[in-house]
Amino acid sequence: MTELETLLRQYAEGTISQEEMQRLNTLSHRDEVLAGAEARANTLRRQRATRMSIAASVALIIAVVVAVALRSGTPAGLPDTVMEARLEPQTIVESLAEPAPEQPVVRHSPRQTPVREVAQVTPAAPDREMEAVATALQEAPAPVRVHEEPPLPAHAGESYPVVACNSECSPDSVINDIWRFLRV
Amino acid sequence: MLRKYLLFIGVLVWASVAGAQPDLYNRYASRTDIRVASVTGFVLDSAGTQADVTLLEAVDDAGWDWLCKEFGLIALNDDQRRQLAQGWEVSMFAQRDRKDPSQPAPVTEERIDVANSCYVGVSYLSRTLYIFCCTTEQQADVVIDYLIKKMRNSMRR
Repeated sequence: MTELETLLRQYAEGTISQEEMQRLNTLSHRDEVLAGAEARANTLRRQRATRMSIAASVALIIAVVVAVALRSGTPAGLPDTVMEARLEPQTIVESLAEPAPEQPVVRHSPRQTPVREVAQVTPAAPDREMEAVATALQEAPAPVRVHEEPPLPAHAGESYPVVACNSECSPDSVINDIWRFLRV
Repeated sequence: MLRKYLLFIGVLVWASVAGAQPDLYNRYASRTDIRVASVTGFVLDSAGTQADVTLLEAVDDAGWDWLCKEFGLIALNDDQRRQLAQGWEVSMFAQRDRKDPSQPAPVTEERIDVANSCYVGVSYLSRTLYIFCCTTEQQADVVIDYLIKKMRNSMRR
């Protein structure tokens, strides 16, 4: 039994002293603070996983763009930076429009090419980083409702207790209501 | 013949139920803003430990406000109100004297005899009070165990 539970028991039994009551308040508060810290940690973990996912996606897009450019056989026509490739698709189109004589001419619309290449590259060589990110996302703990549900007593509620209500009710609904309160 | 016999048994059962209403039930039975239910001999565990339980459920806001005042329920803090607004349970409990469970026990070092105790469990989510009245230490132990776990779970969120 934890200290908190011991104090709660003393509180319930009316044997708690003023000092212990203060201690109980402190522990309760600390518990709430811990719960808040845990929630914040979960949020940060999720944000980190999202950032990693975005970074991995960008890396994949870069890889695809480079692969396309290399396949087209016009390395000299490659843009200097990724941003140029993303912001100036026309550069790629121009380089594709003037292929080296010995290379086959491949024409793609600037928007379709990267998408098609992603579909081709990904299954053949799965990105380990992406797998790691996916695993991290799966393992990122979601806020979980903690319940300590004691097992339902074998003969609980079987003695047909006497039930009275001031409005319409059934004995079963009242007893279920009490069990729901006790067990959740 | 059988019908008459069953009717007679039914009347007897009804009469015994009406006669067994605890004081708490009678005190609040006439209110329309509170649903009152009384269970005599509610079995708490497989050992057959029993307690008498009275449920007081607020039907509307007025009923809940009245219950809070009547039983001196403490006001929730900001975190608890937020927790409640998000649909999470906020639960508390208190030991009360069997003679009048609505009155908060005086803050003293003196212990209330468990044989004369009622334990009031509060569900702020369903706006219901569950009052477990015990006559033996064993009953009180079982009830307290349940209520501590309930409150502990409520505080972990």
